Amino acid sequence: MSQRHHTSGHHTSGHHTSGHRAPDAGRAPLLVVDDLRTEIHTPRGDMKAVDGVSLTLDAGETLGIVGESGSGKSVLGRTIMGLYTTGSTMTVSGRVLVDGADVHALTAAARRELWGTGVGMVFQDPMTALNPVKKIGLHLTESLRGHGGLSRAAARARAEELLRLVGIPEPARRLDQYPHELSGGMRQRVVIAMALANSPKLLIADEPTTALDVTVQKQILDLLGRLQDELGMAIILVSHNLQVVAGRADRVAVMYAGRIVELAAADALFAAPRHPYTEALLASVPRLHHPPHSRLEAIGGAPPDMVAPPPGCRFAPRCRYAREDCRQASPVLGPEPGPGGGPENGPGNGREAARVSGSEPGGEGARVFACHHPVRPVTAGGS
Amino acid sequence: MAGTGTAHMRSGQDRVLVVDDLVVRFPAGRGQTVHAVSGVSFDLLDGETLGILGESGCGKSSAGRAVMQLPPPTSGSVLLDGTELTGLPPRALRTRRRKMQMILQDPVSSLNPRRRVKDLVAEGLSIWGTRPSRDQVESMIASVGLDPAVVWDRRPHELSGGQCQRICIARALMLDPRVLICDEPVSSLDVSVQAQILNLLEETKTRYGLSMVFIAHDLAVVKNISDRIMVMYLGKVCEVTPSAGLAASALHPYTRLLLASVPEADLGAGTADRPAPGVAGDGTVELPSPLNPPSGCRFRTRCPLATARCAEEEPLLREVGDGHHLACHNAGI
Repeated sequence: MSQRHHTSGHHTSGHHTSGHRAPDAGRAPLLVVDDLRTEIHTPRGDMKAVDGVSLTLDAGETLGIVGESGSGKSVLGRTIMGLYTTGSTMTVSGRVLVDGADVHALTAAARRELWGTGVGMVFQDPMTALNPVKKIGLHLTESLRGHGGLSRAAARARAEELLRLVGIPEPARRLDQYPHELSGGMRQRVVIAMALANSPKLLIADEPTTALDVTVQKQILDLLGRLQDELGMAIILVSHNLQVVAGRADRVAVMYAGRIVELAAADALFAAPRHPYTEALLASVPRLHHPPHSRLEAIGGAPPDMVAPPPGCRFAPRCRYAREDCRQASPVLGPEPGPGGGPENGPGNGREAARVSGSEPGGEGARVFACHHPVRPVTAGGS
Repeated sequence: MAGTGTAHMRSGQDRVLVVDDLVVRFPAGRGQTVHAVSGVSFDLLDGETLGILGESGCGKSSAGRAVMQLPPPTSGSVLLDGTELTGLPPRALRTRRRKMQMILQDPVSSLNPRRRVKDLVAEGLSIWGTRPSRDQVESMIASVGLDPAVVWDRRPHELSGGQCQRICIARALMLDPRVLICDEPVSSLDVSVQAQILNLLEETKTRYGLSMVFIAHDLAVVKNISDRIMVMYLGKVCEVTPSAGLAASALHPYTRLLLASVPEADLGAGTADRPAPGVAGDGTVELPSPLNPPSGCRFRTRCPLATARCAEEEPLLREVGDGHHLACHNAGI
């Protein structure tokens, strides 16, 4: 279904992605985000919701994006999707390439073609994502007939198949029900079925389980995992809940104040965080294996106002390790400096702060973080 | 899931709150009734924190509100410091209820947007006719971790969610309560702020000698703050357990399902209180409705251990360990 994008060319996409080499040589990553910035114009000034984010994602991979509210993680997801574009209320700069196609350079019509076949999205609140006066069947057949050009009968058959795929019992009967007749978990399954209707290569799930109960949350996350295995799509899982992302994502990006502060393989990130913010975030989560009444390590203060973010490292005002240089220069996102090489005290403009690739030659464990005084790595408990 | 039993009730002088056979029903139109809480009993010792754990629709919030008499329960008894609250005339009820304060889920909407912090915090006492001194209000604001000089003249929209929740706690504490009922007080907050508020509640409880009922759906949060945990499902009690052993020794199939649903193990966690292998997650069953709850044990439609007996006979709470009570025919035998 994606021939229409091939004209922009897999073969040529290698030029501008020299810093983003995929592990299996010759194959460009499915998603390339390069120095993406989303500024939202407000009466108080321009809010830098996303401020220089670069990342890549391979086909079939899962990237988790975590952060507090206001960190820019949802805006990032929507800007990648192309739901947020340059207009009267916001300015987007940088590039997003989905399968070689530059999302923000496409015409509105071409972008609409991309939604569904290229990128699908699952939103947080399944009730508001569904139209209350349309039946479940219409939600699904509408895009099948529009994108896929299926006949009425074929679209209905495919819709039934999709509902079965996402584990909805009695799919034929559900097609004629309205959203309010379904439970929250069932509604979220419908939203997922809608996103999958035209077999996207990339699924962006923005807090897909936040509105759901824990037992339902597990069902939905299991479902996403199963569908990924069956359909081979890549997933960006955006969540404020670290536990939701841990164990579901291959790599995890931690966002703070519009920027990625640490990006690493999920296991490595959670086992031994290097950025003080990642460490603090992990420490503030109550754990089931801790005895009752254990004191939690809260992070003092609040995230910065993104209309006028603080100079230097944006986490410095809340950071327990912060020193004077942190307030002067922005740390650059990059791998661990080699032995002898001190922390790079670059002028810290956002462009440098953004070279991220999880699929660097270094392999799976390639970790990048933006900090002058990182948390000491935990020595692996060997002998 | 029966929980109509009272085997978990304790006796003694130091019970601050005794709730017996609480029933809450709401009319739902067309002659139907929502059975929100169906015969729940619990007690709270002086200085104790009771966690009420359950998913949406299990009746945990309705139970908390019925204890506050907001609205009064359909039937059942609520004894606060030995005084029966149900059936009291409104004026007498208001006097007694001062000793019991509530913290709600959404801190921003539970504050009047047009009032300033100084008035919000002083409001409770003003209503009771004793306008508190500026010193009193300032020290209360400081004791919930805010700077009185900064927030004094602010309105709720000028504060963050975490700050608003601190103001709500200050408002409750102004009335010098004995019991604090917290209904999902941290579920709308970010993890870092959640930790601040949980720490504040712990400190406050110790400093003011409070007892607390903590209602939430997050297992780790409830375990962290509670001494004792009551698990509810569809208006009934499944299990009452000391919180220390929640993950290791919980027996009820529903508690085990909740534990199995927590994606905890992946955070590089320790293994001290790891959920024991138990009941696997259920598939895609539609959840039963509180309009028409299943007969017998209400969890049986999702329960992997269900037998014919579960449909006919409601299990009663029975003791299975020290302070550990279970309402199930088949588990823990």
